[in-house]
Formats: sequence, structure tokens, C-alpha cells
Amino acid sequence: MPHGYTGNILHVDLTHQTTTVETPDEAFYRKYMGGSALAMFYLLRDMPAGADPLGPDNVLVLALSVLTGAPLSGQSRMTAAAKSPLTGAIGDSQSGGFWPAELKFAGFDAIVVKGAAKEPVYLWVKDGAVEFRPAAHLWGRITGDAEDAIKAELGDDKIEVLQVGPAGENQVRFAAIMNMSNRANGRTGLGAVMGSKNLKAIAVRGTSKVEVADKQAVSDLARWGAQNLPQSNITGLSKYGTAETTGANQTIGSLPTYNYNSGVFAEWEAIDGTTMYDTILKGAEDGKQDRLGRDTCYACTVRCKRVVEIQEGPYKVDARYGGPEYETTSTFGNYAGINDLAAIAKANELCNQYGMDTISCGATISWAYEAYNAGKLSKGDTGLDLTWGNAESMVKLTEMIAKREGFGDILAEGSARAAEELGRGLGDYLITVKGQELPAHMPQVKKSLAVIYATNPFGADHQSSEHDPAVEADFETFKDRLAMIGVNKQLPKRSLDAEKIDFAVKTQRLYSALDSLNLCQFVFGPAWQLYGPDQTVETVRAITGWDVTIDEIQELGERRLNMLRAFNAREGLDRKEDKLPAKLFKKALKGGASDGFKLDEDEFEAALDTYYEQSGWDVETGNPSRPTLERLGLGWVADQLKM
Amino acid sequence: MVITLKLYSTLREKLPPEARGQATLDLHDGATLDDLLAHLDLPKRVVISVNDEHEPDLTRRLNSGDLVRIFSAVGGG
Repeated sequence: MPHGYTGNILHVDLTHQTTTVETPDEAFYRKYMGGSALAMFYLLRDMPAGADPLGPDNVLVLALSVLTGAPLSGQSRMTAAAKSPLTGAIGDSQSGGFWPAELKFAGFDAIVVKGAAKEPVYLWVKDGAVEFRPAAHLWGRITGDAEDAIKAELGDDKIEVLQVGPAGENQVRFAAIMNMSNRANGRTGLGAVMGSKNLKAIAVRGTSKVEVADKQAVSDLARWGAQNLPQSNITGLSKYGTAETTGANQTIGSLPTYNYNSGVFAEWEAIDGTTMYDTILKGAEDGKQDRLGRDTCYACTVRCKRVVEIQEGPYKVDARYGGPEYETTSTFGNYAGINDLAAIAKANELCNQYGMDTISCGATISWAYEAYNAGKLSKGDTGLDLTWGNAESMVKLTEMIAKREGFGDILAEGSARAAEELGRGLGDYLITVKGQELPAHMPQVKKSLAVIYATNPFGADHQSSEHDPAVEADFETFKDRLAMIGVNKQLPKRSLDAEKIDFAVKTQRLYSALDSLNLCQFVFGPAWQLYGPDQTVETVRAITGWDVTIDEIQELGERRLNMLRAFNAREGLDRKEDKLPAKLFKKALKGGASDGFKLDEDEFEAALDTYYEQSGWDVETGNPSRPTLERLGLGWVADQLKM
Repeated sequence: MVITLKLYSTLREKLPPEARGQATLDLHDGATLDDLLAHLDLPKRVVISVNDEHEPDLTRRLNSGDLVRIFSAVGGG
């Protein structure tokens, strides 16, 4: 095995039930490195333009990187990518767990899935061998049950299972791909793509190990991380989960409430991460949360994953389905004015059992709540009382969406399609970009997110760039790391000028590279993360033996972004789709530190111009230009676009 | 001058576990947020609210009866 990667890309043709293995050379791996960039290579090469996202022409890629499976925190992650049935644009989503490392140990760097099976099947991948197996008996079963059944019939409890739940089978447009029954490639509806291909699951087991170029350097990096974790900026995230940020977001007025009409939620403390730790995290009743309530990914010392268990009351929650993160406590909580943490944990459990993105599911429900409370939807439409704060209806709707029952069948199309189908001016309440619902960090407060949310190729995303506070109030703390990627100046609060866009572009490139290296964005990053940009470079060097620099890593990120945008250009998208929800410009936020905040159209459009210019893209269309693509070694993509 | 203090996430580990992050503190008259952070041995990179309003100015003088909440300042998603 080469250092870090296997050299094997598995191609699966579901229509003809055949497989082939491609063995790209080292230059290919050095250029794309893995994850999202590697996936984009195959999507651009192998998928015809204009493919039906839920048809056999769509290509689903599951990709690891040249780092996956090495003995270091934050590396066991994978990318799922395909054309999104939610947005019609590129779909791209990241997940952690043990499945990514196990696939590497089984001998593959990526799986490229084409066609569609006539009947449900699952793949069994073991130490380089691949078998198609019937899955009709698994169809319709929730993730935990299907995972148990696969492990039982293959006779190995150490198998890792990636799968779709019933929501993916039902082609809910924001269905997720799940692994471990609690880790999700959540965003952009890629579970529906897998379901449309009649591919229920991919079970993997491998016994090989990842050979690294410099064992001592990898060991030193791992030791440094373990020693510095307790004093680091992520120690709170690791112990209290990402929902520990609820109170800070509330305080700065960036806790999206009542479907993004306010940045504060009076009852935030009921759903905060510290409260979760004290009440429903497994082991809380006798103070054993740190041992029982925190799960991990392969070889990661951070252990940030929530494990919630509720044995009493109306919302019992099984610990195997994990627990809610900040995005989930927000979308199922403050988005709809809901203060019931047990109900939120139940909705999270349902999403993991049925396989759905908690962000789009919760935000689609909160869209319906706003329409209902505005008198535009009635109980006759919904069958449920959607008064703000009604936790019971939220939980019921979550299950109805997964099963496509009643009003849930309309919401299963996502809020943008639901608004179009129902009419009545319900589009006024949408909080979508390219048809995908906004995550829980507010661009009215952190203004660089306005540009990133609007332009991000797979819809609004909060993990595609560093957020504004790092270059505003927190700059002094992070200036050394930010300088490594060329960000050298503290900027005023809520600015959106060329210097702020420069910060957004440079940090976006690093985050984009992380999604191609499949590194966790809590463990690696440009500011508050455990490891900084210099250690990201050291990690790639230690594992692969390549003499990479930060410039090469930044260029990898830029290459991946250009491939994503080029895919969208090929599908006919351009600047016209880089729009934010109208309400962010028209309605001022109410209450708290962000009272009165709204975005300005002229400032936003000027910022878009600057963003395209700094990206080397055509300002009029927002699409990559041939010189930029050629500079990044993507002349073949420019040829595809007939530039 | 007596204030009510609430600390969240890892910050509350500055207080005894049984306090669960909440305490009543007797501070000298005219004490500022800066003084409070120093008293608690907390970093300056935190997010603070006084009486549930955001207060980024660490020179803010506290008054008797104030409720001060202090949060870790982190990214995350």
C-alpha cells in the first residue's frame, strides 16, 4: 500500500451488478487527495449533464482521503457526493464514525456507484472482495434494526454499516446516509439518491492497516493533540457538545428563533448543551456522563459525539441513536420556539432511525409553523396544531415526513417545493438557498456568512468558512494561525467589505481542503480548532510523505470549490441562484443584541462581485473562468463547459 | 456588592461541582467585568451577558443584584 492510501477506487454498476477497480497513479492522488475533490473528479467525468437526481444516471461517490485510517484524531471521515435531489445542484456532505477507516482497511479509497438495481440490494465489502446481496428483507427497517440484521447474517459484529433508512427509501428529498445508526451524511438529500438506486447499505470489514510515511511524526502529532486538548478551545465542545454554544449565540443575538425572525429565544437555557449534559446525556443520573455519554470516531481522542438516553416520560430515547448537536437543538428547538429538550432528542432519534438531515427536517417544520401562525396554513391543511412551541406536533411531523404520511408527504419535498405546491404566498416564509434550508448561524450577525451561504455550491452551509468573530473580536487570540493563510488584519464588527471577503475566501479554501482531506473541522482549522494550518500541513506530510506546503493545501481547497461550481455551471446554474431568502433583507430581527438587524441588498450584491473577483470567476455569471480552471489543472473541466 | 454569577460549559468547572455553575459573589464596590474575570481566573475571550444583555465591554462596572452569565466563545455547528 502507498503511504496513506490504497490506490484502489471501487466502481459499482448496480444496473448490471458488476464491479471494477481503478488504480489511479500517485499524481492523481496528490492532485485531488480525496474526499470532496476526488468525488468531484468522478462526478464530472462520469455523470451526464442534466441527469435526474433520482434516476439511474446520477452517480453517488463515497470518498475517503489519503489520510483516512491513520492513527490520529479527526481523520476518520468521508464525503458523500452526487447531484442533489433537494437543490438540483451538486450535493456534498461529510460524516465521521468508524465506517470511513474500516473502508480503508478493506482496501478502497472510494466507491463510485452508478445505475440502479432492479430490487433492493446491499454491498458486502471485505478485504478487497465485493458481493451484491439481496436486501428486500431489510427494506423498510429502521437503521438500528437493519444494522443488527446485516451483522447477524454476515456473522461479524465488527462490520461497519453505512445505509439509508426508510426516509431514503421513500426518497424524502433531505434523506441522509447513515453509519453506526447515528452518524449522518446529512445535507443535500444524498440518502434519497442511494434509496433511488435500491441500494440499502454498504457493509465493510477490513484487516489491513494504513502505512504512514513517518510514524514518529504521526505519533508526535497525536501526542501533542492529546496533551493539548484539555487546554484547547474545543474542550468544551468535546465535553458538552456543540450545543454548548447555545448560550453564546443567544447572547450575541445569533440564535435563529421563530423561523429566523429573531436572534434570541427566551427559553434557550432549557435546550442548552450544559443542560443536556446535566439531564439527558447517558450516565447523567449518577455523574457518569464522561464515560457513558460521549462517543467517538475511529482513533479520535476528542470524543465529542453525544449519547442521550431517556427511559421515562413521553419521549423515550434509545442511546444507540446518539444525541442532538447544536444544529439539531436549534432547528427542532428555537426555530419553532420549542423548549422541550426531550422532544428535540426524540426528533433527533427519529431522524437517525429513518435517516434524515436534522437541519432541513427541523427547518422545514419551522417554515410550516411560521405559515400556520401567520394564518396561511390551517389545521385542515396540516392535521396538527402548529402553534409556536408545540413540541408534540413537531415530533409527530418528523415521523410523518419520514413515512410520507399526510402533510408530512408535502414537507418531505423540502420547504421550497412545499411552498411552490401550496401557493398562498408561502414562499415569503422560506429560509432556503438553492432550495436547502439555512443552518443555525445567522448571516445578519456574522455577515461574511451572507456571501458564503449564497454562493456555496451545495446550498447554505455553516461549515464552509470560518465565522466572523475569528477576525473581529477574537482576532488577537487567533492572529498567528490566521496569518498562516494570509489573513493579517483585525476587522470591524459586521463589516462586509473587500477585506472581510478576503477573510471569507481564504478560510473557505482551507475548509474546502479539509473536506477533501476528510479532516474533522473541530480538530483541524484556521483558528479555534485543536490543530492549526501548520499542523494540517505537518499531518499531510507525515502520513503521505509528500512535501506539501500550506499553499498547496489552499490550492486543493480552491480546486475543489471550482469543481463544485463547474458542476453547477454544467447544470445551468449561475449567479441567479446565489440568492438569500428575501426575508433576510426585508424583515428586521426582533429582540436581543441583534434587534433591528437585516441585510442590505446593495451591500450584499457588491460583496458578491468582490467574492467572484477574488475567486477568479466571471462576475456576471459567478462561474469559474477558463484561466482559473487551467491554473488549477482543471483545463479538462473548462473543455467540458465548452469555454 | 452582591451579584449572581452563572457559568456554562467548561467555565463552570471554576466553581465546586455542587454549585452547577451558579454562585452568589460579594465583590468590592465599583468592580468591573475585568475584575470579575480576574477573580475567577477566567480568560478574556468569553461571551458575557449582564442582566441578559450582551456586554462586550470588560470595563463595565457591575451593580449589586446584577446577573452575570459567562460563556465560552467558540465556533461550532
